[in-house]
Amino acid sequence: MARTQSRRAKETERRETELVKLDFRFIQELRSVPIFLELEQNKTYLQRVFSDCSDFVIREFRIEQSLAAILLFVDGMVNTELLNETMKSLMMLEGGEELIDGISDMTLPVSQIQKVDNYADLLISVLGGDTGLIVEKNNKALLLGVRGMEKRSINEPDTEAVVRGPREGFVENLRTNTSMIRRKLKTPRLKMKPMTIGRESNTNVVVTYLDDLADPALVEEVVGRLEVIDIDAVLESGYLEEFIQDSAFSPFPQVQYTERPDMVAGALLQGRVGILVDGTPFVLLVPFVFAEILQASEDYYERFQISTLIRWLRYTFLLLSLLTPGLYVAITTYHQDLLPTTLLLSVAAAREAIPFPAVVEALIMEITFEALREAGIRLPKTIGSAVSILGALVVGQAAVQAGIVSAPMVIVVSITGIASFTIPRFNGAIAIRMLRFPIIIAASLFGLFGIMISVMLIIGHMASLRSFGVPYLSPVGPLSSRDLKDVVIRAPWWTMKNRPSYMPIQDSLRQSAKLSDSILEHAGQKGHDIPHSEEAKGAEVE
Amino acid sequence: MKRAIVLIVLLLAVLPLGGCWDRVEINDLAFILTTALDLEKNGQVRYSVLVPLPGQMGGATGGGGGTAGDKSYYIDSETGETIREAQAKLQKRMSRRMTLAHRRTLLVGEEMAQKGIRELFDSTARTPESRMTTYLLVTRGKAYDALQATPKFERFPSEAIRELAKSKTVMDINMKDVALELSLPGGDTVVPYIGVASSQKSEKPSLEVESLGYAQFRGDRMIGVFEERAAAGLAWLKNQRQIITATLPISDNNTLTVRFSDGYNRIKTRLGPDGITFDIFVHSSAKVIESTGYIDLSLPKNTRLIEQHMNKYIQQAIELTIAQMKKNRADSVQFGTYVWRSNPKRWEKQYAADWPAGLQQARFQIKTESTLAETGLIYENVAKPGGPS
Repeated sequence: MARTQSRRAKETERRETELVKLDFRFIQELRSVPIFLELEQNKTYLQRVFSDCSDFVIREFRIEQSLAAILLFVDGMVNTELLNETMKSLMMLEGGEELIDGISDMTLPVSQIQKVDNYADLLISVLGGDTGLIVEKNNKALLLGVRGMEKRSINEPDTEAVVRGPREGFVENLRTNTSMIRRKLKTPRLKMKPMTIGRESNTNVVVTYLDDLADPALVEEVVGRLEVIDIDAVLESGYLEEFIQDSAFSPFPQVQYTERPDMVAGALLQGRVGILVDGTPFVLLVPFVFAEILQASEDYYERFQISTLIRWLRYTFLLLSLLTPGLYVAITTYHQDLLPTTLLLSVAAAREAIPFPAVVEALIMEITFEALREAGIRLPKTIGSAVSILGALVVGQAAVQAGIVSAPMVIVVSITGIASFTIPRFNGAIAIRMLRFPIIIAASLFGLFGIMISVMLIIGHMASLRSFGVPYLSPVGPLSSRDLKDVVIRAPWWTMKNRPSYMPIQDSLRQSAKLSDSILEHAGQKGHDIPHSEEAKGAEVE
Repeated sequence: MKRAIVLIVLLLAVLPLGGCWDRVEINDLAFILTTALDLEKNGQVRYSVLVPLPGQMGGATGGGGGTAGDKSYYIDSETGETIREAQAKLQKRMSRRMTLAHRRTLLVGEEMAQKGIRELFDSTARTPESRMTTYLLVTRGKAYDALQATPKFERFPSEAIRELAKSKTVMDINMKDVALELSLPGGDTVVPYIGVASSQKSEKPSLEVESLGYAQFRGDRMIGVFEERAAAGLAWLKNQRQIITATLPISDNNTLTVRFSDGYNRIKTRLGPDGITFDIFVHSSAKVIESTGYIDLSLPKNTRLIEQHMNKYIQQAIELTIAQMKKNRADSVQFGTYVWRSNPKRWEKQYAADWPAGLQQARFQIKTESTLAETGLIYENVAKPGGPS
């Protein structure tokens, strides 16, 4: 016992020293290294740090034909044309500027410029695409923003396609993404707090929110939770999601992700906070409540009647996707009385030749369906259609004909599948998909009673969840009846006078009440308030 | 954390340990669709069941067993001292557990009905899976003969019987209604009465189930049958919506077939010193479905004439019903209940003891009011020579 303990202690110690080493390997070590006065010393140091880095370029040249300087950049991350222009103007410099301040203020034709005095700041920026300039006899370096990285063009997001609405989606480049949000919200209130996470990746992360609207405590909390993350690399926003969510083991997502700038802008206007991560088109949004799983951005672009109906369709199918296989198992093995006689006899006739109990049949089909879906996602698009044909024909048709699976079961699985596709937020659909299986098991053990218990446990669990302090079932539980207008129905835009009150928010007024009252009074804008002709204006004066 | 995992494992272990005692696959059940009860000569109960054979109903192709034969159901029968005993005997030769949850009709043979039906209401109400909403029907002759019917429209004879019991031409009477009427003071019950008839002039005659009226009960024993017009009168008196088709002879050349579809009645009781008087008011509306001879229905005088004939028809039907009630000394309309409601004390004192007897001296004031609601699409035969007058 003591031996294991000592071994364990040693293990932790070893790990900790390793972590410290890892830490010092780059950032900490470099922070204490100043830019040297001697250019030669800088050059040697850089060559040592970047030994065997074939993509790292150190270009030596002379300013005004006399003053030695080096440019350092990563090949492929800078705009070569712009850099050539810059070098040209430096080489042809006249006036004998020797101080870097003078160079930056007066001679460099570069809009983004920054002065640094240690290697940590210098190299992080250079590795991020900037170009570094070190001049002889100066203990400061200049960072020139002449980036020119290859990047994907803006495309329609595949995961959140809409019929009506903007078709642009985020890309992997952080700055493109921030600019897309800025284009939606042209206000200085839109804040973008920069952060760097990941010891090796040094991933740029931006926390964005609307000032005076989002609760400062919430912003602090988000920044705080992000700051304590200590990991070697962040390659996708999913890394951060798992670190910052309130309940780590819950199947329900407590952080929303989206590829759509309009979605982010809409969320920011509700006082929520966005987290942009460099290198991924997926932006995180917190807090996230369950009702938003069933809200698509298009709901707000389409007319409210159809949006309301579609929301109810989604609510219905959410329940169906969760409960249908369980109900089938429970009813056919415990509560045969519940089916109308003719339907029961049809089911009985279909099940007559099936060798498996209903629960085994249900599990086989549901698992096959999940496998089919997984196969379809991973395969290239051209083969994907082949998989779906294979699934429909082989698993559906042939299994029924061979008497391995009953036709009603195929219908149940299809309904479940269709139902889970109606959920707009994919991470929410995943939670429902997973919970289906325990419900099938519970139904096979306890019938409808088992389903009731499982549903109660699920609801109880959801009620206990919080996303950054916001109860997960808001605005239904705790009930805030004012906000139900965006959950039970999708109220017309002109009635949404206030922002959701369950979100921590500083300014709840969304629009002035005057117009909505007028629209309500006349059942639409009928032009009563707008003087058109000169006569009307004259009449007004009189 | 470790403790939580142990706890979860223990909790999960509870699930399989709890077992699934009540679990029964759908293909381990035999769904009784209808049962027929008859009286054997030795006084035992004959219990016949009709069970569908899912294997014969064209489910999944390939595999599958099932018994041979072209019918998708099977009938078996057994006798016993009690209904449940007969059922238990029957179960011994059935590989699937019989369940009564989907029984929709309960047929009682005429002989058994004559001996008394009160005992039935114990076995049905005692288990939750057999329903009191089952339709109770009395069959002409043996009840199991009705199971032998081969209706062409439905897959199972039981379905044909149920559809008949549900149809608008028969009063809606299920076991719960009968039980209620049997237990209430001052009144006797009626139960739909069915028989099996061969289809006529068909290529291959089939045995179809048909409605024959209502079995009349005194107490829980069947003593007669309301047929034809007496059955129609019963429907009017019991205030039940029922479609009644009547042929009215208007004059020598004219007969009119009408369909009564809507109506209501009001029965008031007057307890005078000289006995009971029932004021019966019946309102009924009908539409013309056929008219022979030429009678111009656009004329109000003709409409009034027809309405008078309708009144007469209803009056006669009701009188016929009351006469049969008097003859059989059974109060099939629950007149006693009306008396009891209007004057409970006097009912207790004077009539309760030997109720249907009081009916013999009672007077019935029948008042009818009929409306010819529709003449159909035409006033007169469209092929009347010389065109419409």
